Amino acid sequence: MSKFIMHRLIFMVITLVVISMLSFIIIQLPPGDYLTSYITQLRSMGTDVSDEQIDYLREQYGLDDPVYVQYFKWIGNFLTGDMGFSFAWNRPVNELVWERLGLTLVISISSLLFTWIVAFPIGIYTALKQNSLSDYFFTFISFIGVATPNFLLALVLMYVSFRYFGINVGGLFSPEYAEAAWSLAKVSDLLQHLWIPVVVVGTAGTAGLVRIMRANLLDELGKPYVTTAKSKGIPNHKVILKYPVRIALNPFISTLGWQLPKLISGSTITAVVLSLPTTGPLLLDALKSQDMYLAGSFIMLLSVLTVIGTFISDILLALVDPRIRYV
Amino acid sequence: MANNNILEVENLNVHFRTDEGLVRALNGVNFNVERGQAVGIVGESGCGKSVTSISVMRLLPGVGEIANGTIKYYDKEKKKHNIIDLEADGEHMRSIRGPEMSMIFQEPMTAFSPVHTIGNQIMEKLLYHEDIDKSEARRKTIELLNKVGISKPEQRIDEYPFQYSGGMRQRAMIAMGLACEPQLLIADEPTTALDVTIQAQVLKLIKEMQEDYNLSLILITHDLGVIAHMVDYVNVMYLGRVVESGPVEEIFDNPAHPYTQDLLKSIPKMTGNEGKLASIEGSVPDAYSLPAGCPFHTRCRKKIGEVCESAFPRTQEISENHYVNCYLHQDLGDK
Repeated sequence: MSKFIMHRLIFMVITLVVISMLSFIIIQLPPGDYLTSYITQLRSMGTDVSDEQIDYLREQYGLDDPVYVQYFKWIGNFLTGDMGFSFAWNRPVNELVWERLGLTLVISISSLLFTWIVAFPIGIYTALKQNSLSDYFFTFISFIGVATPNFLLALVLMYVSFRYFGINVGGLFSPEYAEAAWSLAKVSDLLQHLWIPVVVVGTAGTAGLVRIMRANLLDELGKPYVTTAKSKGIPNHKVILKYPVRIALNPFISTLGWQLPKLISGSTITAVVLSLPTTGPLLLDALKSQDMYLAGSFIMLLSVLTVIGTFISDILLALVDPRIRYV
Repeated sequence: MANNNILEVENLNVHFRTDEGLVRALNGVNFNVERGQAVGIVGESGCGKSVTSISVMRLLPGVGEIANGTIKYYDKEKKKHNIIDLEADGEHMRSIRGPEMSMIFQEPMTAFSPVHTIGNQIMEKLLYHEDIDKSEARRKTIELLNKVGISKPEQRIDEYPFQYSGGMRQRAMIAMGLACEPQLLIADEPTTALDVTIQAQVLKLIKEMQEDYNLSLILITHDLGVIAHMVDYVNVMYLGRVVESGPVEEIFDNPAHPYTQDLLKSIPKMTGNEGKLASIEGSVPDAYSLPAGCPFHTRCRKKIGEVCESAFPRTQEISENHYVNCYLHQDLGDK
């Protein structure tokens, strides 16, 4: 097992180095840089920018250095925890990201929990009652859930709650709490707003998960080991929970790590529609305005999380499936 | 006499409801197992051997139902249980399944859960039925593994099925079957999935265990060669019915049903040059539309005529304890 983990760790580091280069290339790829779009913006507003000023700015931001120098500067700082400076926000990237990360995690983790808590029991239930009326009912609902785009659901929910209940559910806080310090009242305000993004983000996931869980479990229920377990005189529900459900859950446990990057980048469009102060919209803006250090840091951060997530998945898979562990 | 039986199966009818229609898997199966006796059930694939055994254990899948018949089981105290009347997953049936009768399955690889240790799966049975703690269950499991000839059982108990060889898995399966000391062991094609060299060892082990634990045994197989050394009494099944039954020597020496005769001819022999191996013409008819009358008439070399298509022949005792259902052995005048 420790050999297995060492192996993975070494490959993880190599992968990360390659990814960091790729992310840097990607953010360099669009023609021009932040400064060109900044200057265009200034000129379109009628501000005259002289060539000396431009040169001064280029030098200050190090935009004239060779690409590899820029890369090493960037990655070197990244390793020490300094993710650079956002031109658009005029603030360090660290501040921007950390500021939004907390609430992003709150939303992502609550939706993930919502998804699992709702999806697994329904998935198990529909598999056990295959082709019954209730199975068809949940199947119908989950197909609709899978087919509805999240942002549409967000719009509908916003409309309904505003039109019929007079509540404005955009954002995560009511205006009076948005800038206030943390207090019990602010937390309860947050909880009142939280359910909409959680339901919106969670619905499609739940629906998809119900289908997968049902299919996985149906595969397992017919396996001979289920009959063997029943032949020991163990009650059906115990048999089902101990054997087929356990095995049907394996793919979920082993892909848990893949949720990690989604915690940050997931549901960007929903966040835009609901104007949530999360990292998704921040990333989108950064990409649009060629805010290279912000965008680059995001891409790098997501990649790191993906690789770490995969690493966690590998370990979890080995933990839940002895066939992997002992190879 | 009836009280020396451990199992009495009478007129057992089992149907499967499928999308294509009703499959009549068993159409009136009759057989008894005496206490301590080894009984064989033989027949081609699809004749209902396995369905018979899982019906006795009440482990039929959801689409299967027992349409008619009785299954009586006499427990360790000789108390009678009407298996058919019990709820399949009810407490009563579960107190029989496991401690009273248990089963060895065909494919030991898939019959064990791949993600639980062998020990866990055997101990589960002991812990559920017996009032013992974990360490006691573990001790008993090691004892059982040792008994079925698994070396280093203290170590092997914590291993997973994929770490066992095929023969060892089947030994572990036998150990699991013996846990809780049942009276009746049903072995459903226990050697089909194994290497020929291992088959003999596993059969010998089953035979030894039967004697050691004074078990009643139902051995299900398509291989008449296996039956010969293992059982006292044979039931030959064809398309969901027992067509001939008798003491093992009788069946081998004086097979009465044309189907049994053909089956015996299709066993390869090691002696002499007999040329081509005999086989039974045609294939088993479609279970959705069973032939009327004697189900074997479509393939029978000795078919008499229309009478064979009229109704299923009565059971005829042709010698002591040797029964056959065939018009060749029936006085056609009194039909």
